[in-house]
Amino acid sequence: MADKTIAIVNTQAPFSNADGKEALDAALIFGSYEQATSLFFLADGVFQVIGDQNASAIEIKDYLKTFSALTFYDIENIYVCQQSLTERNLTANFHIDNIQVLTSKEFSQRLHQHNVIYRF
Amino acid sequence: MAMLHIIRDSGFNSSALTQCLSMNLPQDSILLMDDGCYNLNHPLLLAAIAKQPALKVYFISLHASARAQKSNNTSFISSTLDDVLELLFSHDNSITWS
Amino acid sequence: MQNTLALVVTTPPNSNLTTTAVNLVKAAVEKGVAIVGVFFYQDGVLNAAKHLSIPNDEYQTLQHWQQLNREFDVPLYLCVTAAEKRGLTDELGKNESSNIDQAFTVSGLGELVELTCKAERVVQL
Repeated sequence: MADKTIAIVNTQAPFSNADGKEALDAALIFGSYEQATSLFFLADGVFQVIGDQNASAIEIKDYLKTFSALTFYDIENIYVCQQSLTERNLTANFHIDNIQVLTSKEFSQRLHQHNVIYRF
Repeated sequence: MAMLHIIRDSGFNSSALTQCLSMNLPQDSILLMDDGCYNLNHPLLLAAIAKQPALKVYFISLHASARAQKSNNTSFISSTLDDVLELLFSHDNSITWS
Repeated sequence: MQNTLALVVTTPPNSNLTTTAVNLVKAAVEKGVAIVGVFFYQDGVLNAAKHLSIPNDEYQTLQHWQQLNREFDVPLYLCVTAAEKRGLTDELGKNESSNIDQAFTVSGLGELVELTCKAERVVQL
């Protein structure tokens, strides 16, 4: 088995479908198997990482809190697309700490460096 | 690394096409599959090809003809699922936009 | 050397997108590309539902997966967590133990990690 780098790309807002949750579940498993895993947030995916959300108000188990566990799984590369933030009039106010905001080109270049890409 | 972008949705109704184009780098290729074939006449894709003539855009001819989609633009490369397998191995990685 | 490919299927059996996935696997088998496995995740797990009843004159997705598994030894892996959330389980009552078709191997996301590492290329459909 060869070592591979895995990118999990999130493109959906967090609550109305299970994509974000199922992407995070996959990321944590890859992390627990010690695979080099990075998380990317693009387009509406950036809504998953913004601060001041209140999932429990709409009866959703707040899986967003689980993002803070990523460090324990050695998932340290978390990238957000600046252009996606700007388009949505968002600032870099996130509910997790170690996020790197990259320009669209840098974001894409980083994504290209991974062997396998799963998009949710 | 060269990436194969697989588009499976119409850009007229979803952001799959715009997301793909925003992540496309010079050595990459695009593959239109399923409803992605409706992008054969999408202005954003045509503009991307005009701007970057070397961009390779493949489409599954069976999926396009089933949807009555065609193009006179010679930049589009007619393909089969057999060709898709070749593309998967001739590119370093792939991403599916839908 | 033989090329190896893994697929991740996330679309349900009543979608033509799944037909494309089936046909890509068939093309791979004919071409001599080794399919190390198909992993069913998200709504893709519904492909394993054995009681789905699709009118005879429509595309029988399950039969095509069964055939790929039976005749060409294509391994089909089901994410059990995603499956249970969608009503599929192999721990039913005493009359019938499972509503998952036997062509599918019940597994977890760990199998996705294995397939991802084993195959030269992975495609998500």
